[in-house]
Amino acid sequence: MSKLSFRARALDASKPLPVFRCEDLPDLHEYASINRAVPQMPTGMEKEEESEHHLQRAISAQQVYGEKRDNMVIPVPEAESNITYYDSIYPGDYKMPKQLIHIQPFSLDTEQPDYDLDLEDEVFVNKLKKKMDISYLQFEEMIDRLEKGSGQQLVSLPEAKLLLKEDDELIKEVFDYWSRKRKNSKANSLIPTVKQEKRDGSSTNDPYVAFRRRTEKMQTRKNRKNDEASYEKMLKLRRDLSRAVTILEMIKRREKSKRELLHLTLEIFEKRNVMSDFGGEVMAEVLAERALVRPQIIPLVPLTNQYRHQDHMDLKDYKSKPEKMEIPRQKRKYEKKQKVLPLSSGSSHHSGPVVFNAKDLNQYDFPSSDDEPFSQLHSGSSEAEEENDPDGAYAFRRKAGCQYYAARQDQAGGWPWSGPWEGGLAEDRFRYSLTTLTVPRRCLGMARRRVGRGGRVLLDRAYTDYDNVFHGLDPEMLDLPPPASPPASFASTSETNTSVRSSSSPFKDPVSSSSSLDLSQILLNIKSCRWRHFRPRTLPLHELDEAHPLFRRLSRVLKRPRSASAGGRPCAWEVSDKQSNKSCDLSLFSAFTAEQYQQHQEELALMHKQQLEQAQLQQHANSTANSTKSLANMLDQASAQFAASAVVTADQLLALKTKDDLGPGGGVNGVIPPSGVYKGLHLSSTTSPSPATPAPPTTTLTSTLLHPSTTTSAARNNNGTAHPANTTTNATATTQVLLGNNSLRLGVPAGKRIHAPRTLGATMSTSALKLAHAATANCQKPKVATASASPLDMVPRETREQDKPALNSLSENTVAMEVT
Amino acid sequence: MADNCSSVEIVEGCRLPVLRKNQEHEDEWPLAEILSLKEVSGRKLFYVHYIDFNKRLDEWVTADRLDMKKLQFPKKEAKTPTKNGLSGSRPSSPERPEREVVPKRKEVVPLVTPVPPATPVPALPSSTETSQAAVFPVVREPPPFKAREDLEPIPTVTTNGTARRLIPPQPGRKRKANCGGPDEMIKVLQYNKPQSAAVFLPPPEDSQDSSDGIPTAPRMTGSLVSDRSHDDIITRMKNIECIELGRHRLKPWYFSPYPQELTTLPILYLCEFCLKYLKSLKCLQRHLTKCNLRHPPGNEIYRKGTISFFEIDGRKNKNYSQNLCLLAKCFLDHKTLYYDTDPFLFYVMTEYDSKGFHIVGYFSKEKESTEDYNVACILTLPPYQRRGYGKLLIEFSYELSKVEGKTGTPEKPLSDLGLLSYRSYWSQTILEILMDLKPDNGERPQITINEISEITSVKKEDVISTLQYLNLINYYKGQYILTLSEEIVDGHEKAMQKRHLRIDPKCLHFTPKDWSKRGKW
Repeated sequence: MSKLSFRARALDASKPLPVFRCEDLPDLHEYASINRAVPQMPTGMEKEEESEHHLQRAISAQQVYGEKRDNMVIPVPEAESNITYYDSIYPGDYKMPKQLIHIQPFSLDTEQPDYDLDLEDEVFVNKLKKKMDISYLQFEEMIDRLEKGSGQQLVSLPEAKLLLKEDDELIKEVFDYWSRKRKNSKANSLIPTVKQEKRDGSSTNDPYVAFRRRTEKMQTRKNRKNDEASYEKMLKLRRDLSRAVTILEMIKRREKSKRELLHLTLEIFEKRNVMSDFGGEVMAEVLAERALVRPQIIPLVPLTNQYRHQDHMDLKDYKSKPEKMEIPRQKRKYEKKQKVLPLSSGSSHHSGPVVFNAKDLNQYDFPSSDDEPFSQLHSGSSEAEEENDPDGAYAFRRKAGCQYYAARQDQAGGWPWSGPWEGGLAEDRFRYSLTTLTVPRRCLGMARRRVGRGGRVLLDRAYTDYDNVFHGLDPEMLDLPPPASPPASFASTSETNTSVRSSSSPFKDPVSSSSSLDLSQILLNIKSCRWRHFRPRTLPLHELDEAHPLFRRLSRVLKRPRSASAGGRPCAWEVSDKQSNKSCDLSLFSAFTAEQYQQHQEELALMHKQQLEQAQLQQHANSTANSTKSLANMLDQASAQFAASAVVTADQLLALKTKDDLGPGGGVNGVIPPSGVYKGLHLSSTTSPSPATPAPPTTTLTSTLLHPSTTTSAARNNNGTAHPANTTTNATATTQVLLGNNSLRLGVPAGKRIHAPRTLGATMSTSALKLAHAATANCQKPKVATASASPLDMVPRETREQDKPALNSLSENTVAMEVT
Repeated sequence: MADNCSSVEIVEGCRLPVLRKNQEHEDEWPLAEILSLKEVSGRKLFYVHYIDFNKRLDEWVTADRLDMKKLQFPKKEAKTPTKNGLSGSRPSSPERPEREVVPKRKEVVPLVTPVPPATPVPALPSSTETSQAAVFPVVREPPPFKAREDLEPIPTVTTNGTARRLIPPQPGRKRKANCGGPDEMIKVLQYNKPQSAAVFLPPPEDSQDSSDGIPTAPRMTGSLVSDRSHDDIITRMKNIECIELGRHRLKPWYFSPYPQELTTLPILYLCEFCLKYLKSLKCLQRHLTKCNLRHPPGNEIYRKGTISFFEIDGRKNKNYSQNLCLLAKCFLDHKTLYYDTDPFLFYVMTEYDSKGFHIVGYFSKEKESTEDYNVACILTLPPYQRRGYGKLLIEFSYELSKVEGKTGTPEKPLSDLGLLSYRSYWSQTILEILMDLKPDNGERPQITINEISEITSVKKEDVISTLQYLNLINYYKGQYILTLSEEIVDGHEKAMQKRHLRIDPKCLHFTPKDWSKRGKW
């Protein structure tokens, strides 16, 4: 014990240790106490296991006896080695090779199926053997393929047929058996496999998931990236190859059916020959019979074609889709401005080379594998085809019997609005319009409006020689009614007017641009709509009150948010020159304050009343907007007619619908015009000649488009379908209008208007509500209207199929549908 | 006792003495914990873990083997197999019985709870009682005891002289905080500090806490787990009843992630050569018609007599490697099959007869070890145990290290049997060297620890621990000496006479590969 006083030095592994026999060191025990100086090494076991009873017993037994005692060993669960059938199932004929066994790479990859037949299978296979030729191994192979072919989803029978090389009957039997067995088994594979890691990481703690891939960096980093990259490549290659196999398979199928078709055609031909049906009469008869038996399924494509060709003028115009690729790209820009040109000039076709598509002539040719578009391989259905085709149903398709002309190259330029490089004059008045500010009320001269950030309206002003003349323009003078109301067909927009005028008046008349202009001449030009004149106009309040979502949609579609100069009011640009003369009194509301607004609201209530009264009076009158010059009248007239039309046309429209089904009326039935401006007018102009059309549509032409009645007029065009929706719209603060079956979503949450003046936001919808209430209270009609709404409601559903193209065009053209 | 059983509901977590036969076929009644219950054809069965016995002895027992008189109910939180305090893998239970157990049973507790030495005694100063009292009301969410509310305001608890702030635990942690012993609770509270709660990863030695709710993947290297992330109730229980391998029927010792649908089978059949698992004898027979392997699918790198070693690359021969791992997992508690087998080589020892090369045991080895491991997992299959094959495997592993010119050590943790085997091997190997030392020029023979390590390829630390274990190192007159007692020498000589199976280095045909240059494992 006394020897403890000093500390032993640390054990040095590199220092030689003399080895003694204990008997040589009799005094060793005296030093024993400091042996503890050597740090105790850990056993390397888990702490709590180290203390386990049997281990401790074994260790102490070893230390006591120096060796293990049989009864002191750690007990383990028993193992038996007396399997009696062992000798019978393992063959005992194996000879040890003289050399060390060396495995050749890939020698282990035997093509043996992993699936092993069980007793149940044995019974099945034995039964099947009576009918067909099948071995156990063959069966195992089939099950193996089926199992390995199934991922999350089971292999289907057709897939199974591709997978298995056997004949169909056998495949069917085995497949059925396999499906049944698979269904009954709880496991996710008939070949038991260790659970795999899930990609989403949800299996991190699943004790049955094993052998996860090591994704993180290992100690060896070399070429790790390459490994992964090449692995990915292999995966891709595999996928691609399997795709190729699929494609080939499909080609095979297609070629088979083509052969079949050929044989059938040949057969028909031979039969006809036998029957001496050289004229084709028998054939026609048979075909006719067949047509009776089986209702002809009209493919979608021809139908849309039909539609297209009847409507192609306008569609082409607003979509500004060049019909032929030869048209230089630049021209597109200008197409917009001249778009009504072809419309106004009717069907004046340019003479030119007729272009045929070889496919038109090839109708009876069997498509061979290479002239077939690839997409057809994948999508047999026309719907899928539509998805592939960006133009969808509106892609240009030729119609049999139509003549198509090439664009005329010689007329490419020379328009007053086209640039000098095209031989035009690039006149400012085609690029800019006369602009008058509301406050201060003065004419700015030529300007172009742009929408800037956050909906700000910017005016680009252009210098012209006549600026001083323009500045002297008195805006008030313009508010006088025009000398004559423009023809209905031109009533759409100022753009239309401009182009129409320019098309009807000599284009290249230099006088209008180059000769000196005086004030009166300009005025005259403006009044007669020869020149566009833009005046940011404050919308009359009641318009805003009633402002239907459509209004905001329009304002967005037309890109007409508040004008910077007009006190933040949305303004009607295109219609201004037309509208202004009718709404002179209301257009005075330029900038206004809250008080003014309050005041105006009272006026509004009055006005509503008046309007509604008037509406009652006028509901049967086939009044046109031309006859009524006041905008207030316009409003109630429109709404009245809306109500009226809903009633009157309930049955008429049905008739109309059937009549118009095939014509351009397809666009009328249950379809709201896409832009609300252009299309609506166009459609109504086309429908108006129809005798079946009820009177209301004519009013559409005159109704001011940004006026809330636009909705109504649109709805009327809609055969009243919008009507029920409309009323609900007014009734709910958060409005969602489903117009027609195209589900235009025009949601207007109250108080959340962005483009509309914020101060008005909340009240607008409430007054809209008021209107709705007033309508129900005063009109007596709406009841009927709602009653009639339900049958009307049916209309679009019935016409859905026919209208589909139109609806699609609609959605294509109205981009900003959701106004919040 | 069966009538008792019907009257009292035994739930998971209960502890009670359970009858089992010891090796001398005597009855003993060790305390056991009920881990699970099931009913088979109307008979209730209880999965019991004998406290302080290895898990491999856990078993399903019938109710008549339970001593219901000494039943201890689990604490409220004992259902979750979380660790409490230091008891680790062993089930939590009545550590603080006075709190949860009804006073009536209180007298039972001292009788049947042989407190494990390392368990519940908190390493806290005398203030333990106060701190405990102070901690509890704060932790529990409605303060359960009115009387203790006065203690609540105490903001800090003094433990080991350091003041620790008590931060109210986050809701998700409350249960955990409640069930722990006092010292653990403080730990938990620390972890709940807002800044550390989200990212807290316990230090490696705090294995008890590593699994509290946060599933973490085990480390990527090695094949043994020392943490408890897998220690849920599923992996604590054996899931395979019986495995038939060749002529042997093995009763698995531990959980193994064989396909779940196979765990319900009374017998799982393995192909003796490719180790494929099959659900029925019929399937096995069918499989044998297709499987033409008669030896492990690798290169034979050693053969002497009927003993051969085959080297299998875990990347090249995944199927076999995985099958082997699944089988080995049945007998290795701490083996993890979390990751793939790619970075391992498997050395399978076989014994030849006319049927082929039969697997006897194996060890796996990392292709590149950062920690000088020359063995990851090592196993002698139960039918071959206690016949010297284990030592042969170990010897072979060191022979490989000798060829590589490295010292090596087995991956930790060692199992009980692993420790015994390795200690035995190290002892014999070192003693062999020491006994063979001849006096040099009439002087005392001497040797450094490093020399022993180099000769044997046994890592230095293992040499020291063995020398210590054998009590050979002595400090004598200012220097360390190695002393060989008579008992040691006698014991060694006896043991060596019994050790017939030896590795003959001449029969080894092995060239180590530099795996780091391959860029692949």
